[in-house]
Amino acid sequence: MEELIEQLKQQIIEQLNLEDLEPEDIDPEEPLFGNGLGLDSIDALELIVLLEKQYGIKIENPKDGQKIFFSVKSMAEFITEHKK
Amino acid sequence: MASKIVITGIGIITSIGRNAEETFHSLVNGKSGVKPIKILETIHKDKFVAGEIPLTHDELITLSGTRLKPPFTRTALLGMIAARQAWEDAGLNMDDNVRTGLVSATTTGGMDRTELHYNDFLHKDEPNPYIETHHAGNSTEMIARDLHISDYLTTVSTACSSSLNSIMFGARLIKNGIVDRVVAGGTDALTKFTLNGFNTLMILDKTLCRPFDEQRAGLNLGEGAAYLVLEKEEDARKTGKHIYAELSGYANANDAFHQTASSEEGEGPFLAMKKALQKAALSPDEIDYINVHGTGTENNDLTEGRAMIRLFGENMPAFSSTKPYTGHTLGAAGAVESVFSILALQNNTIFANLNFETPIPETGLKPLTGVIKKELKYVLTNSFGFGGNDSSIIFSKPDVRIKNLPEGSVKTGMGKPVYINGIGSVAPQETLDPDRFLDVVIAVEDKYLQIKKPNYRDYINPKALRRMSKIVRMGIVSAKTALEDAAIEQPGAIVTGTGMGCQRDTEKFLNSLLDNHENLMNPTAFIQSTHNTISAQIALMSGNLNHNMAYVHRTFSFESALLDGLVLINGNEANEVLVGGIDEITEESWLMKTRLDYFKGNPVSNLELLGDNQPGGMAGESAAFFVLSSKKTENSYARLSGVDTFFNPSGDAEIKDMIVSFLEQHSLATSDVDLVLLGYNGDREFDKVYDETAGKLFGNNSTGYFKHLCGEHDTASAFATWIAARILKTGTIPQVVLKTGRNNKTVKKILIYNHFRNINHSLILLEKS
Repeated sequence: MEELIEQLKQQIIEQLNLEDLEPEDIDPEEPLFGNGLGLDSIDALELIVLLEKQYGIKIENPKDGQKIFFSVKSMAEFITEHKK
Repeated sequence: MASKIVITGIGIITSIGRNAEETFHSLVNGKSGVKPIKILETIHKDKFVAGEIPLTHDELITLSGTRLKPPFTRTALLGMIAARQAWEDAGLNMDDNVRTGLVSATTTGGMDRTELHYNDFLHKDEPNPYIETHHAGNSTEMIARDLHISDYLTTVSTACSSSLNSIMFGARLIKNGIVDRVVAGGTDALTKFTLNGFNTLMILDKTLCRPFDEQRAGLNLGEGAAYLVLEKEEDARKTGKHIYAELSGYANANDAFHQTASSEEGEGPFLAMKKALQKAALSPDEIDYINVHGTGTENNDLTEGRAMIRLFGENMPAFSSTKPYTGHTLGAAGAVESVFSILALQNNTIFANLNFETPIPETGLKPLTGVIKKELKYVLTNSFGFGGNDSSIIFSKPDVRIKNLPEGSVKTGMGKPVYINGIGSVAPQETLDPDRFLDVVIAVEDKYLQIKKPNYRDYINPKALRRMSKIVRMGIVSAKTALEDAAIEQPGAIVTGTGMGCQRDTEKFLNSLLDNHENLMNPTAFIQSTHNTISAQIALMSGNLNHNMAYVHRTFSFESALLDGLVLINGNEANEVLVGGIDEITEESWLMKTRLDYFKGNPVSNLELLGDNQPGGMAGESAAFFVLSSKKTENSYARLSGVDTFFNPSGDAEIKDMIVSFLEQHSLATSDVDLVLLGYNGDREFDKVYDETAGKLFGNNSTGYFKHLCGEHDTASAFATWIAARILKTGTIPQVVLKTGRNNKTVKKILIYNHFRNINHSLILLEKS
């Protein structure tokens, strides 16, 4: 899980072009949206693509993203559960 | 007293009909054109339905009856078919010498062919004809050539509200005396680019769209074109023409909330509808029917509904979305639904909102689900687009209105004086230091000229910066600089011109579409690829809710934006307008255009540009923004006295006539002009046009040039305007700008003359304020 979290941080930074951030700046339990990292709905769509591209997991309803993308940790848990 | 604007001709082609008659028949019979995709070659054929016109490329050519030669894009063909119908419906021809304009809208431009040939564009060293048809102004020029319209033409692109905005601009052109009648509308073909783009946003309903229904799950895409003929009422009466309707109100507002989503309470939509009512001098309860935007996405229908409740309260007029018939035709939607609204008025008939069952709980609004007959006087139609671009138009039955507001003429220079009170530019030279004015010139030997990169973080916060490609950054830095220079925070309007728009984002999305075969694509580049991204981002960053526009017609782009600024100020619709011109160079766009000999293919030294033997100009890029104002201030740079554009003149003699008559309109002789800035770009074949026209007319005046400083690009004239404004304020002509003549006399009047390959010619006149 730790390894996956670190990998995810790196992938998020790259995918969302978060140039100012280093992986260690992201607290895995901190919310990605709103007050935390401050991501928005366009980023959520990018994360859906990331999940499919990197982990082969398809999300059909963007509303499901709200829970899955709550934090890096919740993303990692979801991936562990659903990875083929 | 300005005239009322009336509609004397309509033309339309969508998936529910090839003309107005077929369209009306489908609308009253609840016949939808949204079906499985057959013509578009996409891997998503079985996944999505669309409002596709069931005609192949060749069948469309036949239907158009055009005598023009290929290449044709699907977007151009649809536009030609619908515009010709409107033209013939109004009984127009060009023999009567009435000044006629064409304002057309599109979002996809030539993308329907580009996406088929893009790999060839890049990898085959040959002049593929569809490289030329890619730009957004192409379909407009094809329509203009087909109908022989040349007095005025431009192209609008503000995502899904584009063609309501083209109709509005058409009306303003007539009211300000620029032309006497206008063909206005829009065209967009279904493309893989847009289908995949909306798919990445996850807002496509796989079944039939269900606007205003609780279960709505997104939109269906469609394609089509529609045009209206706008004329002055007295002209239409004089010739005894059938008048369909009066264009009695119109407005554009910006939501300034999010790049793709509307604000919770629908602020932009609310303001657009409210301002349109004000313009028409109507109260909300006088509206009989609203043809809503109603795309069927969760966000649109909820926020549009809320905005309607805010404006109409308990007295909600009958309303319906007609998107379930045609799908969302993007840049054509506003014009398509304007034709629907006019057909509703004509026939006292309101069309049903198909596929509706249960109201949205938050609004409880119920659209009409059956066709009803009802006496209609005033019909409102809405179109809302990405970048928070929201527009509303009101059509009324002829003869029901009395009120009318006076407006002056910009064309004759009889309008209000307009001043340039602030400027800002990002260019391949040092432009951001107010104490320097081209005293040290950046010399480059390269394939193209690129901007001197500012420190973007000084202007844009990193969170916003991360998604922005170069062109958006350049635009924002220039815009902010101009606003600060003029000490203005909220201009009454933001208007941009860009010939090629966000090329890098378009290339990114297109390459990923082709490389990944329509799989696993990213939404960001698609969102950013819309032509109004820059004007929208400026509004978003400053919370500006006012008129927000993007003109995208090659070397007319900046000039159209300037003209919009002038007419907005002249018509008392804004006191200050932020106007800018902006284009970026990318490796791919440079490469493609070297194949057409538009750009030089080998490195060239910018300071020796005019001696170069290679065909084409030296490519480049720049952004330049201006705060136009009705008030002169201590900071005023110049008076912007006039702007005009000319399409496809017959030869040097006609060009000379155009220049002389432009100056005459402003009560000037050629000898009155102190400095003429010319668009020499190092392409010997086309630089000759300057020698033979301006060279002959202005032999004794000082002349200057500027493209060795910024490179050739569609909005280079904006950079020339920046130079001219500074010359008029500082009283010095930088040596590097001067081509002939001396720089020791006082400069009071500067004329900028630019042309693109002897097709698109433009003039801008600035005078000392």
